[in-house]
Amino acid sequence: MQYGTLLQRWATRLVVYVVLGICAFLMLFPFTYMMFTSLKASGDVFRYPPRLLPYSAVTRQYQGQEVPVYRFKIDGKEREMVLTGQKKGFVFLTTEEGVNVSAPRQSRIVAQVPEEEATPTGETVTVTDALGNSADFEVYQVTVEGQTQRLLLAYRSRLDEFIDPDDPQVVTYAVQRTAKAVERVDLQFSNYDTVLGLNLDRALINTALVTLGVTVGQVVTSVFGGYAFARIPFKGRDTIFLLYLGSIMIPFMVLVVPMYKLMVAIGWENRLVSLIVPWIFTAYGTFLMRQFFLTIPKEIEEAALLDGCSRLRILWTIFVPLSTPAVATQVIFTFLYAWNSFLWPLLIIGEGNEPNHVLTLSLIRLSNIAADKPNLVMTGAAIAILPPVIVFVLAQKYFIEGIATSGLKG
Amino acid sequence: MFKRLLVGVLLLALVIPAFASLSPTSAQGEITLRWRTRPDNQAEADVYQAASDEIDAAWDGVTLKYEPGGSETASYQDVLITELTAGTAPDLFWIPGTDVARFAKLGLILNLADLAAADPTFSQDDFYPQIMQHVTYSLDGNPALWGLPRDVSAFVIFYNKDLFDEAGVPYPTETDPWDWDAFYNAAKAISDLGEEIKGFGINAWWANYGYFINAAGSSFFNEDFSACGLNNPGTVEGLTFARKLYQEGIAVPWGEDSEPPFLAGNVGMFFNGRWATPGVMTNAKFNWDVAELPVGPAGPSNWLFWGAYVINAKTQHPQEAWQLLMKLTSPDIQGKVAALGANIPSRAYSDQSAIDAFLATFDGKINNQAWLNGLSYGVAEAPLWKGDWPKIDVAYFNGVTKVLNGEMTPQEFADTICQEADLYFE
Amino acid sequence: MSPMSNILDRPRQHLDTLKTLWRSPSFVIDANIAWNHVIVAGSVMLSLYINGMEGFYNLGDAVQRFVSLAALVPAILAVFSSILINRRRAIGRTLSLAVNYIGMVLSAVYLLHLWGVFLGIDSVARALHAHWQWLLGFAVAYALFWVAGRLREDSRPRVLLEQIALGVGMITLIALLLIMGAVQAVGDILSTYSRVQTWLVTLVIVVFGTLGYRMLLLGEYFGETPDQRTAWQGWLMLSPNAIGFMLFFAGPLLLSFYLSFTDSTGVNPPNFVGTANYRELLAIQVKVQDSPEGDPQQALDRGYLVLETFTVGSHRVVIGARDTQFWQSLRNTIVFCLMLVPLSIIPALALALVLNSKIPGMNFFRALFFLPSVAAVVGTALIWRWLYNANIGYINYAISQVVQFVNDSLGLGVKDPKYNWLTDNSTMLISIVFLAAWQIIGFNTVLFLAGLQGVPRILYEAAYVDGAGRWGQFRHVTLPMIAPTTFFVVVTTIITGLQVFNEPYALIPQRPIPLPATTSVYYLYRRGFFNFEFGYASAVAWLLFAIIFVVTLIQFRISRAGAYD
Repeated sequence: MQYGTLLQRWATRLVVYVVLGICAFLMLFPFTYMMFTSLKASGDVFRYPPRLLPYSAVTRQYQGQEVPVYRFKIDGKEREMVLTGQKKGFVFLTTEEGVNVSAPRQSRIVAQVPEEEATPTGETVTVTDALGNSADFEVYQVTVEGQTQRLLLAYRSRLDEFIDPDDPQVVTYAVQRTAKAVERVDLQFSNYDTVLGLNLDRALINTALVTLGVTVGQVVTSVFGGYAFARIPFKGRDTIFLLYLGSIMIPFMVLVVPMYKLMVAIGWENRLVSLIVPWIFTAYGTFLMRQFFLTIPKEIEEAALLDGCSRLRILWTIFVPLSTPAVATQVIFTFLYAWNSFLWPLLIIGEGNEPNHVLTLSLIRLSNIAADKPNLVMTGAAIAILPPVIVFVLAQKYFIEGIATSGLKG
Repeated sequence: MFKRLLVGVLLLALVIPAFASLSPTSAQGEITLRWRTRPDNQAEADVYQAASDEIDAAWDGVTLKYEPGGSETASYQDVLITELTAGTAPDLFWIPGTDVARFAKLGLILNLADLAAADPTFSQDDFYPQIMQHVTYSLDGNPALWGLPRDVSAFVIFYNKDLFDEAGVPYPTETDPWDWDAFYNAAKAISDLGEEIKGFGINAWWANYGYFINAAGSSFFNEDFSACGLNNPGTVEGLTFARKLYQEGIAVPWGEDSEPPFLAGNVGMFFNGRWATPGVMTNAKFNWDVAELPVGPAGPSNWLFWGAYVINAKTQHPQEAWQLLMKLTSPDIQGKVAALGANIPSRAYSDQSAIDAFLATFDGKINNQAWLNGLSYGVAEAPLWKGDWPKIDVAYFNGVTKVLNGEMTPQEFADTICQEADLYFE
Repeated sequence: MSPMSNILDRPRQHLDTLKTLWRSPSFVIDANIAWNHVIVAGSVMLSLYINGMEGFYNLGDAVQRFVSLAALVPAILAVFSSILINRRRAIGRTLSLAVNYIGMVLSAVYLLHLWGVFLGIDSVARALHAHWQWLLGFAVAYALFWVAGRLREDSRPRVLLEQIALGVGMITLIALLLIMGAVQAVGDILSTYSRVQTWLVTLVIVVFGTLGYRMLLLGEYFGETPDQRTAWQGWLMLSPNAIGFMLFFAGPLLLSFYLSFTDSTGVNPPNFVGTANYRELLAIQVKVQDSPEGDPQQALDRGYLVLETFTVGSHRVVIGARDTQFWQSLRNTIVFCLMLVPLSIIPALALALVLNSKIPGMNFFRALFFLPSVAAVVGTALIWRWLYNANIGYINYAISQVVQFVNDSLGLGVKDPKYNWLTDNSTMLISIVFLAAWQIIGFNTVLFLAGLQGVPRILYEAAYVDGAGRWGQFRHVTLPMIAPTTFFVVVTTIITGLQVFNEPYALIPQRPIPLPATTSVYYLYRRGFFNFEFGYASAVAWLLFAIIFVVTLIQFRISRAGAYD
């Protein structure tokens, strides 16, 4: 059919794969980020530039404690050193030519001298740069390599002291923050234990139970309702159908308060049942099934009716088997809806009622109590996101077929 | 026959509703009281639970049920409001100080003046007077008491000593005078250390920008809290200074949560209240301490934050709820909660034991006194009795955000903000 | 004949008479009428009880009266049905059937409640949590089925494996039920029969059921037509959904509509205020000032705030509104939709075009692109929060890498923008749009794919013969042919966009969410749940509904017009 050589065809394929691969990488990057971050240690999250792989610091024994190791190059030799906990003040000196007036830290430093070895002369020099910025700089007198020099003070800094435990004479000074720590890749699977222990285990079970209830219930009522709307003519049917359609468009927020009061009136507030039973009866599912049933040829049904089949039998033996994609679609839609619903559980269960939490609630709570530990928040997100992904992967074939056939006949 | 059937059935019909209305009666004896306060973390929730259990064990005839509620202010409030709407809210609950007025005006919380008058152990003078002035505001001329403060707090600067060292600037406590110039220089020197390093950070809510406005001599409201008070040069001066910090990139961007970068060691100074201390204690891997806020052009300035325990107007057991309120604000319980490190006792005057417990927290490793100093001149957060605070809050916040983001000048803000805000006063 | 049967003769005769009586239409009708009396009495009692309730959930007298009147509906229906079946009218039978059926369903629900089934779900969750290991049994069963599915059809190992899988599943189920205390649960249900209520409700169900069933059999007697027969079958099929819908949504819907005309605070009984809420919301004032200088606020009446100003020549037009925040939130919502549509549809169409090629592996990619649509917004928003982080987030990192690359390679001095995505007024909304677009691209791709697969191949060949290149084929064949799909996708995207709430709520960390990121639904949420203005919030909600309704109506009109082309 296509008009090209084998080579051309393979080239096209390659281009398509590369383009799709890049798109897929971009689309799935948030999930990649989530998975990697969920395996990080708390200290490894806030870094710039960011990095994906989880690392942890290599430690060693020093004076009876496990301390992190840093790598320095001293006199051409790589050394692994540790912090002593001491600090020492230094002055960083520059010349009039090397000074950066607007950003003194970026001046060309000619000498770094401990504070006690540098004597301020008390004089100041005003330097003006090419742009016309000017600033005052203190003048210091220092002895470098036997020569006494007058230099300008660029900035001061108190530096951390590092020591080589294997060779305690070797001491150096640097800022711990920017010192090069020795690290290795280390996956913190314990994050999952920690997060599941923060009530997410119970929330997982609750969510699964709620989702199961809603999905089964909704598919059953929708199949019946959809069949009635699609195939049984009766007075008032179209009016009711319009009402159903209209209700799809109403923002759920409108219903929240009255529905909450209703739940209180029947004693269902704070209970899992309030997340299941009201959601079994949705207009959306009914609508979806109706659209699909409309596509099934009328002749099959009429023949069956003439044979004396009951409506229930027709529905069960003809319509349901023919609508596997539609049912799969609805199962996934309902599953996702129930699994991911947030506002209603937030209000009806509440953050405080932990035993009846669903995952979204526990996740929001986790993001608040662990605001400073994004690794744990990502672990929670992974726990909430992976189950629907698995369900989708298992059923995606039917599902996509289902959307394709029923979704478009609006 | 038909008639007899009818009579029988009718009788039956009379019986059914009679049974239906027989709701199951609750268990005899013990009264159950539900109470709720928002903990900032699990450790705090555990302490409240333990306090609840302890009171419960020593109290015959009453069973206590503690509910933590949401951990974040917003969801805590959502849930509380939904429950108040439905009539299922707990007997006693905590609300932020700013909310006391609107809850009282809507009739949601009980006026405790009579209960307090009948209780010889209660004395108003035990608590911070700045707060009691607000919670005893009378709506109808009769004496009123709307609740008692759970705890208090002021702002301090949490500062990263390592970044100060690296930048070569002295710590705030060693800087004299510790004023806005000194503050600016320190923040600037630290933010020069690198792209990801910021000199200071605050979170985006009213108290943070309010400090700059107050320290320059302005105020949110006029003297009797009946109108907007921002239309003056102090507002301009305060916001001009704050805006400079943001426009020069010295501060963590306005609106972004400054706590995570501070904990990561990337922020030199971070304004926050006592509630942030346990988190910093466990998470900060650097040397740090706390210091007082810098002295502004109009003198030292700070807030006195508080939240109140209030009693549900619909409670079945007002007397017991009052007793619970007294127990929860007793020096003993306040001392226990304070010892955790997240709270400062609100009972400042009768019994020093709670304050001592507070000062001893963290083995004195940090400058706990900075809070008490801040409290001594702090302006109490005010429930607004003559206006609609949530709407005014939104109006102020939007204006200030525009100023700090550079979309509006401080002068324009001061000139126009009261036109909108005054619509929301009575 | 044996003597035994003689002895039993008389009772049997009695039984036969009873049976005949029981089956006779007139008895069924009389019994129904009698039972209708009970319904009337019960309904009146219920009405009186509601009328006498104190407080009534702070809904006010009007609602209480209405509900207590609504409780009389069964009574009215019962009276009519009595009169009509007494006159042997078919409609009477229909009414009676409806009353009996609904009565039976509702009492059955009440019985389940008395049994503790609904509240028992909590205990089921607790038990499952305690014995979650057993759930692995289902996973094992599923895995076995999956393996079996790979084997050759009808082969012995496959059948065997399937049987084993089924066995594992069943055993797990039974074990789980036993461990979770199914036996005790049955005991608990039986023990609810120590209360008279349970017995009574059970009895009521039986009566409703029997009478209804008997009445159902009288179709011929009442001269039922086939159409009528179909009709009640249709209603019956619809009933599970419709009854639930009425119970849980219709009432709340009516109530919220009523509340939008009141000053409801949610905590005190509401007062009717007419259209005041809607007037406040929609009040707009347009004034013209002579010069573009000076304070625009001066042009407006008190109570109005400046919404927008623009200069025309030497004049300035000032538009003011009473509730500027509502208008701003509406504008945000519309802008959100306008940005969401191209951002989610153009990439989706492009992806669909690529995926539509006949190359192996496309199904795999199709599923990959769909994954973001599957994940919970609450979860993905938390991920994006960190990606958006101004200082350490990947998005700013990527931008600065690009900027640096451009600067290094071209020698330009482009400044790294360092966007504060989630906190800057100008980027907050677009950040939410990116998240939302990312989530629905996969969904829209699947819809487009379906549309593309419906385009007849022959059209492309014809275009090819006419000398159209790839682009020409796309413009002249693909685009027109998938126009209905495109239209559908645009409209559903807009409708979703108009109701956006979860995305801003979970993505933006500040509370309340700043105005530039406030969408209409969040605005009504804030007015209701922050400010205790539930009446006002309901009015916002219904206005929003009106907008969505108009959009949908347009879609219906156009797609219907298109269908007859």
